[in-house]
Amino acid sequence: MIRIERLSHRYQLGAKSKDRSVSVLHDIDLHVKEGEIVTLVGRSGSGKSTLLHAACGFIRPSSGRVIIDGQDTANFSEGDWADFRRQRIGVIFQSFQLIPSMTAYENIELPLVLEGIGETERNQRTNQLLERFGLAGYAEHYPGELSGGQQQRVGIARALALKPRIVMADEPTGSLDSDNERQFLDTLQQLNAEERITFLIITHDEHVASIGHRIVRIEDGRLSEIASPRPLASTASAQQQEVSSR
Amino acid sequence: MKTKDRFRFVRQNMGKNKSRIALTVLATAMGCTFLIMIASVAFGLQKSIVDEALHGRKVTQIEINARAVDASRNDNRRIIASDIDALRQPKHVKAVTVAYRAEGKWELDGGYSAQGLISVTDMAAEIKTDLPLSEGRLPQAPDEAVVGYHFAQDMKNADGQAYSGSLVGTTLMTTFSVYPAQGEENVQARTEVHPIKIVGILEKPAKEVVYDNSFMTDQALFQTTGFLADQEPIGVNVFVTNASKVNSVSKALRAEGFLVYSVADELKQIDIVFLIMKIGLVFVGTIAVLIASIGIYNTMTMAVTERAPDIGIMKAIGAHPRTIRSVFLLESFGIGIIGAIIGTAVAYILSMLVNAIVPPIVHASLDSNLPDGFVFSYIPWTLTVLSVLISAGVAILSGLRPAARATGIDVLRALRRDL
Repeated sequence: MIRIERLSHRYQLGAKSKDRSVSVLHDIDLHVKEGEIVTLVGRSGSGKSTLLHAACGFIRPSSGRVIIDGQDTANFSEGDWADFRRQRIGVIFQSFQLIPSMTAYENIELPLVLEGIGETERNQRTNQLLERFGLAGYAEHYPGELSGGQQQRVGIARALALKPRIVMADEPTGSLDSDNERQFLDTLQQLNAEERITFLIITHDEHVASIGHRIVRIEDGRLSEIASPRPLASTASAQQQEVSSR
Repeated sequence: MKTKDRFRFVRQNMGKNKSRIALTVLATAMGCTFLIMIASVAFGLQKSIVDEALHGRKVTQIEINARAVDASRNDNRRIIASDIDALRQPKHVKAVTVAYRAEGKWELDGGYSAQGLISVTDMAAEIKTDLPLSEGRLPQAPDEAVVGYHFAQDMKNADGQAYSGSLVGTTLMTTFSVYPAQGEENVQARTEVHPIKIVGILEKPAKEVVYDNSFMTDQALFQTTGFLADQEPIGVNVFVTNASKVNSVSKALRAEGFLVYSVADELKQIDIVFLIMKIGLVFVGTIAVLIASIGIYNTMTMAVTERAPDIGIMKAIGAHPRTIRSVFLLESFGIGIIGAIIGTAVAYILSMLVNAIVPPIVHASLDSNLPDGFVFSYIPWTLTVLSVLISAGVAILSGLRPAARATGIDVLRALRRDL
């Protein structure tokens, strides 16, 4: 589903200092299978966010390739990335990133508006999402009038509005208390189990990381350790079938 | 993103900072008003002075002298009846007059008589050309005529005294004589005698040396007799709606092989003078709109800066750069078009006020009256359209750079509120 091949990235330091740069990712190879939850853990500054940003198209990597859903994104323009992200990837942010002048309803509706979906279908889908994430009574509330947990649910609902097959989350529980974190993780696992949505989650929290089928550790821009606390069931059985057929 | 949603977005965005948007719209409206008002003076002058001056018969008249048979050999022929329809074809032709000539002899009670030439014309067409009279009215019946300003002076009695009263309302026993166009030598003239009532006197010629003793009567008088059947027209004239159309109609007629002449042919430069004057004033007015555009640019730049985090979020969730650009361009266009509409409305009100107030002020302060129909400011629909287009165009241009800035916003920096 997501294939990252020999991905490296260097940040330029300052606008004019072409000679000064810092390398944050080194030849990263990572393959996330369909329906898998992969959590990417690492210390602050390890390069995990940079890796996610490259996978989302927020930055253009210095070298290497990101192939998502069979599409090589190397030659994507900014517009291509925008369309691709809107249609295929849901993004969840640490600080929710809701538009403060829009209500919960309008924030969730926004991807549907950008996609050009008609008003009737938009209303139906937005209301379904509000209902599903327990926000029906908060549709007309602005983000400032919602709790952190509610805002994060609005963020998830917005990420799922266009029914993406992939969701990428950057420190999604960073701004949540333990109750809301538990609720959030339950929701994620439920979505994965029911709709086989593939998740790539960045976190520094080992508890959050533990929900992944695989935990990938990143240190100094290199993938240093891969653990599989609960291997993807269907993948494991598929591998078994493949071995048997051989 | 659907167009309807783009408009909704723009409306919401504009509502976020109403006072700033209102002031920018006001500045645009003032620029547009200034543009329209300053240009309306040029249009007003043209309408009041030039159009009125050039509305007379002479400057809207195109003489048709002949038609080319073979242009390469300079082979021409006289105008014949079948050419008349072709003369009526070009756009802006108001009337085509065809005059025949007859010799005339007039007798009036009291022993007054005169001899001269009669212009037998299509009076219905002549009426359309606003034939100027100094007295009376234009003919409405076949047995009515108008005469030249000096015609009465030719009517003399046996003592050689000229008729001193007004001829309007008198009836002249008129003898019409024509000679067959192609006849043998010593042919007899055809003659008809009709009582003709004089109903109007033509305007005094502008040139004092010109002696106008013409006599114009209607061809309809001879409709049943065939009196003019074999005659060739001696004067064919095309009259256009106004002087500015003379060139285009002349050109169209030349293309059809007609040999034409008009006074306006010698005044071609006049169009250029007015055109330059209008362009100059529209340009000066456009400067006001350009000044207003700085306000639009400033407003849009501030809007982009303020909304940078929102733009970053929109880009992060998949807003196409084209969508973001179009939303900002639509917003600056909206400011421009609302300003233009308000500015145009204000300009129309001001124009009416100026036209109502200026004449009494001129009368009171300069002790002189403006001519009848004088308008100080005139706003034709073309000026309105031009001003709205200029305002909207300048508004879009002002929004281009802020819109480009919006599309170029870095998602990560915007999400970090680092802009």
